[in-house]
Amino acid sequence: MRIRITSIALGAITGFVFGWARMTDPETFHRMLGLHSARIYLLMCAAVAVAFVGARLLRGRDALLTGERIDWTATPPTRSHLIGSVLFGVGWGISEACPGPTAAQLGSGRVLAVAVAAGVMTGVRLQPWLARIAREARDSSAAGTPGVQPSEVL
Amino acid sequence: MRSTLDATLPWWIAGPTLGLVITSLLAVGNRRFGVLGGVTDVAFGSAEGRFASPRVLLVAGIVLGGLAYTLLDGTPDAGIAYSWLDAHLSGAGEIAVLFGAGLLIGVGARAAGGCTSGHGLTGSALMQPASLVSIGTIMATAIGTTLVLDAVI
Repeated sequence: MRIRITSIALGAITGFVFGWARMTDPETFHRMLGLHSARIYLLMCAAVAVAFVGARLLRGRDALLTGERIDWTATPPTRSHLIGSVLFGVGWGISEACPGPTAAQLGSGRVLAVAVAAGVMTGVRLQPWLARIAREARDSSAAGTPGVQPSEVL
Repeated sequence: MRSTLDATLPWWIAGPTLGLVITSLLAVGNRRFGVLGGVTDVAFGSAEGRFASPRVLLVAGIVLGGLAYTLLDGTPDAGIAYSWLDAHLSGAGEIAVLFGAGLLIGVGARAAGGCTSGHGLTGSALMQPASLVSIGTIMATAIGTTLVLDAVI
């Protein structure tokens, strides 16, 4: 229960920051991806830098609420990561929104974000089926690479 | 208060705040910050439940946070305005394009095992090879798509 309350609280902080930093406005991503503004790149780098240090300070300790050991193992990139990331990038370039800011837009009243969110949910639902068709269409000798397991999705 | 909220939060406050959110999720439960995990739980269910798993509640929190900012700031975001697409499309056409873009995002991010938050922030901070390759590919493709669209439209 406590992990659920913590998750919703940390999500609320995230959504508030998305709104305040104008990440709920697609124009922000248009300026970022059109290379007119470095602001979101700097924002992401700052987030990664802080989390990089935080994660290393925490590694090997016990998690506060679950007691689980804080640790991670290296995931090697696969064909699925590459193909998926290309599709994702094209969708992001068209909609100027990725899933986190889209969620915040649902709260901030950007009505058409509902269309993007419905597409994302449908796409996530369809992906295993599409991946199976793609695997079957390929040479059977190349059919050995399983995709990312649902519990492994970040 | 309202004038503070009206000014865009600087990147050097927003970025580290998100970094602390990622760190906090690790600290409380060895959990990874990422939006697509929540979407995946809703789409397929999970061992922790379908609509109230911690990953889903994180996304629900983001919706509530966006709502809270809008209520405090006092300016509902945009109504039916969306982006530069508004100048070229309207009504059903714009909805169809945005739904299609969402489909690409959903299929792609699910295949890649994460989106900008999961791979770009959390996975990158953990120096995950899969995440570094994914976010590099996502960025290059998204920038390429935007530059092409800007050039032809």
